[in-house]
Amino acid sequence: MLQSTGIVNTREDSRFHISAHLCAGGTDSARAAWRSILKGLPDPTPPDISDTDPLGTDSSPSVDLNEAASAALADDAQNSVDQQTSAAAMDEMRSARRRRRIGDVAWGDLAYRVYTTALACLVFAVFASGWVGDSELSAASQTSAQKFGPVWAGLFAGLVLLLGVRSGTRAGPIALESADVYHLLLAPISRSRVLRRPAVGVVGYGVATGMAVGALVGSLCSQRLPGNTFEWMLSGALFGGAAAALSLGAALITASRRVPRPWIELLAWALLIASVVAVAGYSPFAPLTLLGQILFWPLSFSLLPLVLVALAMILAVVGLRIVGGLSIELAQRRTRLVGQLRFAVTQQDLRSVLLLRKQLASERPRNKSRFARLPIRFGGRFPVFTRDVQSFGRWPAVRVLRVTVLGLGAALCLYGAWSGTTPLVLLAGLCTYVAGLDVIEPLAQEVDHPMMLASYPEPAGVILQRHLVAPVFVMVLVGSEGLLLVWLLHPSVNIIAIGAITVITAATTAVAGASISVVSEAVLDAGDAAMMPPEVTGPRVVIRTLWPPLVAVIGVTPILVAQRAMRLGNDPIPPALTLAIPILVLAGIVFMWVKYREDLHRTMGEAMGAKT
Amino acid sequence: MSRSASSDAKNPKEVVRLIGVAKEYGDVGALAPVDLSVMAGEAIVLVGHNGSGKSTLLSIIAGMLEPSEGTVLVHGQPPDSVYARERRSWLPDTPVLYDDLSVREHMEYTIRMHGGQGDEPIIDDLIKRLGLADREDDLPSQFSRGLRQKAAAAVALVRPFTLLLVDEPFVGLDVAGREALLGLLEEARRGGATVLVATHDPAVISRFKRGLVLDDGHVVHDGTAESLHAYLSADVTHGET
Repeated sequence: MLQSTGIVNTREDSRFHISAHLCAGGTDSARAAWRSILKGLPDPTPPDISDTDPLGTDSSPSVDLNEAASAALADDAQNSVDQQTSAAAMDEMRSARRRRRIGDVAWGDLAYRVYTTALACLVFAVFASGWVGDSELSAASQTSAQKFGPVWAGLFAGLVLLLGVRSGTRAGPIALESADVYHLLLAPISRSRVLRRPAVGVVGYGVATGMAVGALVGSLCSQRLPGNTFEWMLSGALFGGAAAALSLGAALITASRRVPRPWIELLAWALLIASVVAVAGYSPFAPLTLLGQILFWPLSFSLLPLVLVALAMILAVVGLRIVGGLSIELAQRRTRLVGQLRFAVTQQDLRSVLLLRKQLASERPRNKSRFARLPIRFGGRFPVFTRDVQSFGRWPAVRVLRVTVLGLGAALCLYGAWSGTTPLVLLAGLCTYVAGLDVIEPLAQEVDHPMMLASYPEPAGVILQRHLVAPVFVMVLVGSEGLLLVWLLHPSVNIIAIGAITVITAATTAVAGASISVVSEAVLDAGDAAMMPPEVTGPRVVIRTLWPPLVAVIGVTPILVAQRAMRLGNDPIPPALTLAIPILVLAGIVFMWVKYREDLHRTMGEAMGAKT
Repeated sequence: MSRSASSDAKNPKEVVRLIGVAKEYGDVGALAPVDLSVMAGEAIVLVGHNGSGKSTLLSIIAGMLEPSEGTVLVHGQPPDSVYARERRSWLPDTPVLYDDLSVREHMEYTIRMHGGQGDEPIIDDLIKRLGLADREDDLPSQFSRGLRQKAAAAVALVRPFTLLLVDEPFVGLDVAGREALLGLLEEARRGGATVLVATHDPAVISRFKRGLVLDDGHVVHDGTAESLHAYLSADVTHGET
């Protein structure tokens, strides 16, 4: 029975059922609900809204909506609202809100945050300084730095530029307040005017950050390379600021939609690829190498790079001028997601960060699976595995591509480590860890829906552990394509054997590391963290953040012992196999932890409760 | 001069025009190509099951979503033009309000953004009509869902408009709030404004002259309320067989 305003509809007959057309599509439940609503429709001769007064407005004070607006829209041919008046209202309200926010600031908290940030920056600078060292490089190394430094700096600028353009395709870099999107971008006022101030803020902050980071890098360079520290810092700051301006300007222009996005993206990719080719030594020069030369001005000064600095500034200014072309649809989505993303970052909730990041990039699962349905009998026996396979079948192309590239990247890094660049194992481990985070999406979905998990007639831990099986298979596949690439680069039996061992260990530890990240609560939200002093919470946060990727890195270490044995003239396979065993045991312990984690927490909680 | 007297120079009576407007999200179609013409002063109700495309259609006319294909005109202008924004008011299904502005401040701000002074009597009138008198200086962020909906309605109605788009406006409203809002929509309509309302509420459906039924993004019926009822009734016969 449905009750309407002033009219009680008790139509139990189904005279006003939903149409056969409506039944043709949509979900069954939606259609059923809609059908039940329509059962309550009143008589098929409804009163016209303009002919009736069913709402009892007689007793209410009347609002003359008509009169209130008459003057404003009198002139049909032109806009009747004065832009300056609206802009003044907007500026005044923004100022008032800012004053109110400042009034609400807890200055003690702010001072503490500034103090901790400054301290963290200082600690980072000291560590970086210590890591770089202060002995001057040899003449040969200096020549090498002079030759390759600008190329690498150009590659970095290319990456930053591409990130900016990618952000621009998603209405970045500005993230407006949700209410601003509705109340300002839908108001009759120039959107450029509305957006310029936040855009200037973003560009200003970005350029200042770029300059600060650049100055720090310049300072570090001055420790090993000849030249005045101040000069190095100045050139570093100019490089950092120009790279940031280039990236943010390109982002704003992309977001403004005045230039076709595919062209901008293509250009950014072309510049990056040119830098990659230059870094690989196949080309002596790339366009962004010119920008990189600024960083190394103390070694070799030239005015030519200033052209790119000017270009970066022009891009930023043009971007600020045309920012009004921003897509309101994308701005709305970005606003919502970036707000959540920031909160997730402050909570150090990696799972939420990844989820929101995917939403921001419009990375949605496919509507139709790539795979045929598994046989019913199989699904009945292995429901979790089947569910995981269904999830993989709905991966969007971009995720397939990302995981593939990460697998190939990890393989190339390990090949580099095998060839002598040992630190590349860290990068390889990180690649497998990131791929692992993608691959354990079904597990993450289960963790994200605890009510459903609790509704299954099996312990949650058992189900979570079963979700680890299919991801390991996928990671082995991902590793195998990397192994194939390495074999193509260096066909050798030893490479294949050691590679196969590493693929298995890396696949299991990548899944293990990723599962630790996903199954653990958000770091700052965990248990009794709030009761602990900062001296305990800080290291705890660091350990909990670093432990999962470290587990993944451990998985690729067999390559190191094999390489060491090879260098000593021994058979590399036995030491790799020997190390693989404890690594697999470690992964097994993590898998068991996933299964019994809840029980362990409960037991510990009960023990603590008994003590108190 | 009526607020609703505004019209496009080319076609003085056509307020909304959709030509082959479709919307897709990835590989999911939210709205099939739709052609629609809405004349000045019309009151139209959009009905359909969840996911049928009602909100998508309204959001496209509101300029919040960009169609994947097709053309949208509001008063003969693109929906994101200043001209269209000046004349179109949008009350979304989820209230979107600043966290740090009171209800009255929201209304003052909105009316000033539309060329007003911020001290117009309509502010007090709307606050009173919607039962917000005791809460006008409170922050909507601390309101219940229903009160937030009332505040959003007040903000949407306080400004001048010739086209009012309303998406599921009665969610969370108590009986008095619902009555008040219906009354205000009716007054807007009587003043000549064009009103498009998406709703599931059968009582509201019966109050409109024209009704559109959407199903999986397709407009499957467009006619008078009487024909809407006849259409739905006739389908029962098919549906029950």
